[in-house]
Amino acid sequence: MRKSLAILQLALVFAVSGLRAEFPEPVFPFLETHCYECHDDLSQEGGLNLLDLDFDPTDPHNLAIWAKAHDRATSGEMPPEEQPRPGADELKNFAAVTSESLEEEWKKRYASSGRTQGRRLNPTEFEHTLHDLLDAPWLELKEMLPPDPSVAGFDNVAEAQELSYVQMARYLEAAEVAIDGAMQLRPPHEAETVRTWFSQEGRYLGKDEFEGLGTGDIRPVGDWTIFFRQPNSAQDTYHIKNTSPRVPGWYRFRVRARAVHYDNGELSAPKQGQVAVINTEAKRVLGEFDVPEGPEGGIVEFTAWQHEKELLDFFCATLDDFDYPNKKKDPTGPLKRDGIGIDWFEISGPFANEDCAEGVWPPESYRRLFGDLATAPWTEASGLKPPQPLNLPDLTANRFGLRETYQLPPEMMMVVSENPEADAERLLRDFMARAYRGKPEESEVQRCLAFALEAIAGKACFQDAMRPAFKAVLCSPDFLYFREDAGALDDFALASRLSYLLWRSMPDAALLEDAAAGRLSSPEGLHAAFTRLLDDPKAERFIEDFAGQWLELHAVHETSPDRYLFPEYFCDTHLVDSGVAETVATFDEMLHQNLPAKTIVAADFVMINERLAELYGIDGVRGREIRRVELPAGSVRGGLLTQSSILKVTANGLTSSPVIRGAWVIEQILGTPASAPPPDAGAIEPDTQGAKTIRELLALHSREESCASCHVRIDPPGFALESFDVMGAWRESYRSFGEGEKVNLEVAGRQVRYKTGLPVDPSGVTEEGEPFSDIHEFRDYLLSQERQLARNLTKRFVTFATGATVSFSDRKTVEAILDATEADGYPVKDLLEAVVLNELFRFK
Amino acid sequence: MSPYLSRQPLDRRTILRGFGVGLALPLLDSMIPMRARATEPTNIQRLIAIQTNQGILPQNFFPKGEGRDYEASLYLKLLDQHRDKMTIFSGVSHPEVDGGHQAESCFLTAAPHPGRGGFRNTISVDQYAADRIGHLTRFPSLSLAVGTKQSLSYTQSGVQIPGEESPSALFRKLFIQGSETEVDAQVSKLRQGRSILDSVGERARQLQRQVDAADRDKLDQFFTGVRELEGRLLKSEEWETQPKASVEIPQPKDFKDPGALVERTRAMYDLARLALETDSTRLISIYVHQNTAKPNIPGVDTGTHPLTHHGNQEEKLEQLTRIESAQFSELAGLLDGLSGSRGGGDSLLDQTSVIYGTCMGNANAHTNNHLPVLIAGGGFKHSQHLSLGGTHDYPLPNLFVSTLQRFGVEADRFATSTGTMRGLEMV
Repeated sequence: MRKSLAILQLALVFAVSGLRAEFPEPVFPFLETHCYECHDDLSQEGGLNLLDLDFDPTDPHNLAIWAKAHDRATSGEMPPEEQPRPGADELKNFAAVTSESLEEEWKKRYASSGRTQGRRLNPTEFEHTLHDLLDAPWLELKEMLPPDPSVAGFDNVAEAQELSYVQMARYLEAAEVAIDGAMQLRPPHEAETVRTWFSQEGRYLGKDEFEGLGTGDIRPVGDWTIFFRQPNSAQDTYHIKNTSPRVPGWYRFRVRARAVHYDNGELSAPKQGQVAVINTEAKRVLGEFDVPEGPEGGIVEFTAWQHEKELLDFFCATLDDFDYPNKKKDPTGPLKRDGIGIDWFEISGPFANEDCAEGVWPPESYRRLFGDLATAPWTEASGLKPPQPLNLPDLTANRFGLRETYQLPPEMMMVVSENPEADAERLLRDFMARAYRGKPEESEVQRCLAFALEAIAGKACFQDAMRPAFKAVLCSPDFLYFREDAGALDDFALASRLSYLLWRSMPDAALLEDAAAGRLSSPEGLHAAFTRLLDDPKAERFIEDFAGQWLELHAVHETSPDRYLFPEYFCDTHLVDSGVAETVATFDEMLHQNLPAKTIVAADFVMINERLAELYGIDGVRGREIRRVELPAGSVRGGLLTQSSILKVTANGLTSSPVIRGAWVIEQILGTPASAPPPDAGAIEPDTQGAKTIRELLALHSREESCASCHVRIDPPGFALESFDVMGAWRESYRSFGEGEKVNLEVAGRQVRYKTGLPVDPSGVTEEGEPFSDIHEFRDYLLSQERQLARNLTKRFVTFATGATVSFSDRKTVEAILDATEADGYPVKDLLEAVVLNELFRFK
Repeated sequence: MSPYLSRQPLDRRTILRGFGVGLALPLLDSMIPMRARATEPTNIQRLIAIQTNQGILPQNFFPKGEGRDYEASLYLKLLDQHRDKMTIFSGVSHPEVDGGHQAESCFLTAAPHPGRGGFRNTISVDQYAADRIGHLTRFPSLSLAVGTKQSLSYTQSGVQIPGEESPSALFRKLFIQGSETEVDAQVSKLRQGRSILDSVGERARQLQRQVDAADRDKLDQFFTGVRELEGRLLKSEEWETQPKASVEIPQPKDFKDPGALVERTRAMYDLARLALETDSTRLISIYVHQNTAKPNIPGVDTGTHPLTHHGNQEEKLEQLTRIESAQFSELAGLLDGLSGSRGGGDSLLDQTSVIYGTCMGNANAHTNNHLPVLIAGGGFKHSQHLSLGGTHDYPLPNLFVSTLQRFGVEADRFATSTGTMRGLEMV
């Protein structure tokens, strides 16, 4: 009955809608025979109604549903196993017709409106662009803008970018903060150097710390004031008195320090390398360094920017908050620990530029706005209106409120111009050519110049006349949006796409010259530009942003290891930061050394520092710097999959879950995500009492047939990775609070509370039915899917490079890229370059 | 100035309840400017979000029993006349917000781990709403404070907005006209912003003619955003040139004595109510901050913070109870005042969500879960105790989602929320 109703409906629809007639014969009968029974308007299994599905090529959402139907049918996933299968020819026909139609429609769309429409600078890109445009890397702008939504894992996809008045208000504000901050309009301040000693009361240590001097926390020995303990709470940080003039600028910091092993007054080499950090009270890191060893210690030097009136903290990253025994009764009693000793602390500055050259003023960021024009104090005699206050560029200007302003009476500076109208035009043209990433239209120049000219006529100071003009540039769609016309992109559009891919920022002068000379339209020219940009230090931004988003590293701070279950990791920010650095460095190595795609899951090296080596059980690594270390054969490490950061983002503070880890692996690493769980799937409450392992709890789920269809893919990687705890260390058994063997161990001077619980079982069976006993065997299985690994990475490159997701018709292009790189094992840099040289990238 | 914009209701003398002098309040309707009346919905919603920073003794706050028939606790008895306009929560907290006192800065933001390295706060719920509805009033929001210069309000970039601590300065801000130079400067700034946007909008239109269809849509969105922002800046400019709401009460004085906790709290609550009555703003955050000072309350001889570390000693608990009871009495006063003001048929309390709570469930132990929180008014279905926790606490940010939706702001999430507040329905 239902069937004939369906045919009737079909016939009606055929008669009524001309669109359906475009889809050739085999399609609808196929759907009717194999799909409508569950996927009609009445049952709508899985929320899918194919009966009422028109073919609407103007609607990408509609095309996506057809693509899904095609994929599910060709993979054999649908119809479900217990239903009659389509005949081989029938299926082949259906697949061929659907895919041809889809490809054709996508190609038509691309020809008329391109793959990417109206892509805008996202907050990351906006910030980097202003850093480069104004030579002011210290501007904090990203946090001022609302984040763009993530699509297919990336936040630079045009179709998801919207713009409302809320964003517009923020762009206006951010532009103002950037301009006002960069111009740094204040009288030059001579650089001072002040050196102070840690042990002097009132110079460094606050009253509380000085009173604590000599106890278990801090003890003096000769030159050195030695720190043994790093409290976990942000309320107990060690404060450093900031003796610099605390005016915004570049400063050179020097510290004389020594890492020691202290044994009741005797100093020797420390057991472990020590790392210390100088940061602002707002937790912005100014410098992080290995503390020198040796009897005389050493002097560490680094340069950093300070905002106005910042407070400084000193953080001992490798010390823990151990409980000093008998702290109250016998505070100066025997002590045997590693410690960080500080002799003195010196700050020199302010300097105009990062090279800390003396006697230079005004800074480079000023020159980007005002060129060679001089500054002078404003006077009434100048005949100009008083200068307006300017915004300070830092986010946490003071403890009590918003950004403060500077340029307040009675001392105010102004930019001196003998010929303001001419200077305004000259400076603005130069600024706009750089900001607009190409030659600006004359009408645009006049539009922005009008603001300056009007203000000049009104007797405003020159800088106050230029401010609205600059803001008008930075709020213009020419600046905020990518100009990409349909068809083959012109050289300037290509230059922008390339620099925003590899530098997350505007093209430099050399790249704009290439564009002007038409060099980017040739494969050789594009290849040369690609190579140059990738080798530039700014490419680090691409590596960090791409790897961070692909592998979800931003989530690394979302949970923290439980204090009692994992006391050795508690508040170990150094370890978490090192883990992220490891992953980024590995991707960097894969890219620059052009390593094969399979390095994602297996490699014979790691990029680690001392703290990670300790976690991984690797000897002979000292210091905080990330470096390449070759692995012995059979090591479980190597590749991205078994890295600390990955294992941390896929776990929480107490437990790991094979479902979460497994789902993550098949989505991020293989690119074959599972569907969302049905609403009644239920959740598993991990059992930290040790009565059951997570595997046993899951077993119930995976045995059900409707659950098994997805879990047969999700569980295997999850089980294999159960050998790693919430920070990625290797484990043979779980830890528990309830049942298990007592553990006789002290961490940070305290007896641990966890027990050794049930053993880990990392075995499983792959989707294809192959059993594996642990991660080693599972890795071998993953290596057999090299092409899928490369396919996933390439698709992500396409999305990130073009700001548009991979559509049905892009699939053939991706396969062609894979074919071309197959022989060499799909090297990562070659994959990226192949995307850049492809029509995908060079056309809108 | 166009006659359309003149706020004739304010030409009338308005007599409002002052400090200790009870006088009749005018109908709230007449305070709504003509323009707003024409375009705004009649059921305007407001928010007052209050945090007291030293915790609230859980044994004196949480009621016995759940649902409608709960047995009021010591503190809740002080709010008894508003029982049918209140909902008490238990088993709630902000996910991953810890750090003892550090959590004070996250009461309205729910940003996780305030005590850890690299922490950056996020936007507070009142500022989130202010971004969207703030332009409807002269002041998009007010961030008030008792006993501190800090506030509970944070911008998008996590920067704290200064707290207004001085009743006299707040009074001046709300009801006394600024000097001509001050007004001119502000108008100038707004005009420049509008001017820039205007020309940017023109450029967008110009570009639209050059690009293809799909890009045109994006530029259209841009153009709309620009025009909308221009409109809001114009509204702000109009506010500058409007006379402020006037009230016939003397300017209040400030309290120099650090022990004047009760007096300061009452002054701020009264001014908050006045601000809402005059529609000067619809979003207010109040940070009631105590530390070592001893409040001038009979029977109390120690500072508040030391008392919160009572170690369950009877004498300390008793004194702390006196302090907290006094605070709840002031809250009762605020609710009384709001329910006494009427506007458009409903009382002001029905149109104002008053959220009162603290960031520490147990100040003695500095724990940040199982927080004492209540919400009064705001047009929700009330008079119940919602016990929402289980093995883990229920996410408190859900309350903010519910409140935002009450304002008509389209938000289905805020910070780490998972949805709207379970069991809290709108009238």
